[in-house]
Amino acid sequence: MTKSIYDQLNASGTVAKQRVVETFSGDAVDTDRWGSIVQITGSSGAVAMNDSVDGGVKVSTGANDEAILAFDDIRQFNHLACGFVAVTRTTTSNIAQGQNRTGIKYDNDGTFNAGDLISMECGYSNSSISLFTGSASGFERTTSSLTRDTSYHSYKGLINNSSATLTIDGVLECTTSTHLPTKKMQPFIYNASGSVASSAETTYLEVFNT
Amino acid sequence: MAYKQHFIEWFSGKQLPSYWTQTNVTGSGASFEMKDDSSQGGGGFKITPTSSSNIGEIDFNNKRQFSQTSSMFIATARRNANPAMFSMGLTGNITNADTNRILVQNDSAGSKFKLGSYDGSSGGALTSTTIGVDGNWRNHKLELTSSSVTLTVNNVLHATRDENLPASTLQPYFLSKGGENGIRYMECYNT
Repeated sequence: MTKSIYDQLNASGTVAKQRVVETFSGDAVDTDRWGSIVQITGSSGAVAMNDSVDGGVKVSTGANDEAILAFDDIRQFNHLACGFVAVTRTTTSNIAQGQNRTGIKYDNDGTFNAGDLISMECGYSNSSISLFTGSASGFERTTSSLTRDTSYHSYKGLINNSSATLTIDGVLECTTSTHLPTKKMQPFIYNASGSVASSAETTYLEVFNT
Repeated sequence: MAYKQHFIEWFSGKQLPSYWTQTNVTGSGASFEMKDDSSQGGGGFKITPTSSSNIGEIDFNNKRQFSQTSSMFIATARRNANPAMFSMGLTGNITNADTNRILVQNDSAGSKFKLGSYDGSSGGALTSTTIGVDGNWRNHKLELTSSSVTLTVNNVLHATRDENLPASTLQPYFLSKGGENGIRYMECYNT
């Protein structure tokens, strides 16, 4: 008997909650699922599939620009009980030249420091990969033991009503209870560039309510 | 064993994928939208007809890849309005509800969930379960074999029908009548 995916993802007798699985394969990003890229600063933001092994999707920005890819503010994920899994990287190891944040967020825009979100971060002026959480009251950057690099890592972020965690490559690295989001959220990939162009490249993104 | 046709829909994102056909079966103007809602596990996709007698449906526009003798339909759905009715399952015909179809129905005009089966000659019927109709999210499984169709809800078998089984190949559908109905997961496969 063929087994259902449903039964592999959900405990017996439980009702499935919202989930999305994106594998970023094909000739273009799924524009039914994803909205148009939003230009936050400048106009060079772009999204394209990579023609390379394990290339996934590339969200790129030119020098000094920033852009975000999300669900056009269709927000089906509960800030009190949800999570994400992302396999993603930044294309530059220079901490001044590229910033990748990928995770779940309320607004499809550049509101981060007072926005509602949970994400991984390879960010500006920060040599460590971090967990980034935010709400209207402010943001929190919780650093991991991993030094920023250009390699793909597997990130698993989980959030409940009291804490958020980030597991990187199977190791719990970050926990925080500060500035947790307070609004429903949508998946997103964000990239910002310093004085040279950079990209956030992602091969897998799964978001789910728990 | 060779891989058989297997379909999964998460009902998440900006809008419904274009491999679905959205149809006003009765009336016009039904809205077909992703629901911007994270409560109760997530809002999924909703169909809202414009009047109590109108019907909106999503289906595969008669691309029928699922077997009438060995297939499974799984869906997490709820009725979001009262009065309203949803019906969903596998169908051979997108215009005639009483031909080549298996379904589960939640109708606020009735008292219980129902399992239905209809054959190729417009013969068929609905069998009541013990589940009272309400607006809760539930998981529904329809398992179709050459001799029966069963309805399992939240992993409990609730009804079996062994007559008026479909006689032709099938496609998935979700139908909303009279008010808003929602769905956030669907899986279909040949067994």
